[in-house]
Amino acid sequence: MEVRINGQFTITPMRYSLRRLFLFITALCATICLTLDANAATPAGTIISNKATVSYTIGSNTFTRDSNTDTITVVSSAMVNITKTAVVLDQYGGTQPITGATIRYTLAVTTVGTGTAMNVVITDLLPANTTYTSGTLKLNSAALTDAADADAGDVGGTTTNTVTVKLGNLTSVSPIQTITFDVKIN
Amino acid sequence: MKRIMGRTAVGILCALFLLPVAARAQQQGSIELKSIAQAEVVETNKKGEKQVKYVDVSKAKVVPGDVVVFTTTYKNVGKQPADKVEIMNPVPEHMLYVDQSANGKGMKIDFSVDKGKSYGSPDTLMVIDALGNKQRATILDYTNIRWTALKPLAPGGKGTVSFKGKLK
Repeated sequence: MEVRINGQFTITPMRYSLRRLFLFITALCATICLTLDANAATPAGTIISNKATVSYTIGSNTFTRDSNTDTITVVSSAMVNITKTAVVLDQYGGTQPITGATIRYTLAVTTVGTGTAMNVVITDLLPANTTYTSGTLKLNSAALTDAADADAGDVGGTTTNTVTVKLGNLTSVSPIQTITFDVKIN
Repeated sequence: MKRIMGRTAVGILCALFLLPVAARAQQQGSIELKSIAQAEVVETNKKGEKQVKYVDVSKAKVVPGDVVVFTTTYKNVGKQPADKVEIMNPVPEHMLYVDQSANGKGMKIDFSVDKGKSYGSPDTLMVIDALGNKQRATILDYTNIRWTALKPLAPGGKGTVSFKGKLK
């Protein structure tokens, strides 16, 4: 799974495996930790200045002098988190990851912090040895067409073999954005 | 008598004239300092390799969690060597010192946990925790950094010192 925000920020793949419970706990911990971090985060608009000072002696005289002052303006402190989960449903009503079984992926996108994450776009490369099940892409339970058109998402339209969903601007008060889609194991 | 008064007046005049010059010399000195701040930006190139770029903070978008590198260049522009050269820099507000990030060739590096009142090497610094116990200070406690030159700085001598801060 890959997240690009203004083309700057990437999260590497988190694959479905037998250690799902472990991943869930890790994700839960990460969310809690990030939330704690966010509480301490420096708010957007804060100006931080820095200068160095030198002191030295020449003969018996002591001198001190300051450098120029650098200023940093904090732009935004929004952070986008994604939790990806997968459920396997095989054609015999079980949960075995066998050929022909369906994997339903759920991406839950949340934002923490004080700023606004602008133009958030979620991209997720379809796993190898699977085929996307046409017409299964949903955003917050509402179906999206597979084509790259007026709605928020597409599969393979923007990028080959990739799910792309445009979430727009998100803040910490935005509801959780839930993306789901199905693939079939080849 | 007149002559004495005259001499005194000349003396006072000279003193009045020299005072501001001396004061100016005190402020100016002969070491020039220049500080730059650059944000560390990690970019992934087309091959998927991560590359670190340094962007001036006036052009970078600095958000919490970002690392900023502060580099101070010093130069002795005077005609005499400068002794006991010390460069001091507070860890900027809203920032945490990044472990092992302070650098400076020919410099002894010390830290302060009391806003620059006293300095010491990392293994000697102590803080008092919430329960009133003395604890070894950690990088989270550092408030100031001091670089002490091991040798006098000759005329024309120059160098750089740097450290990294992480935005809270």
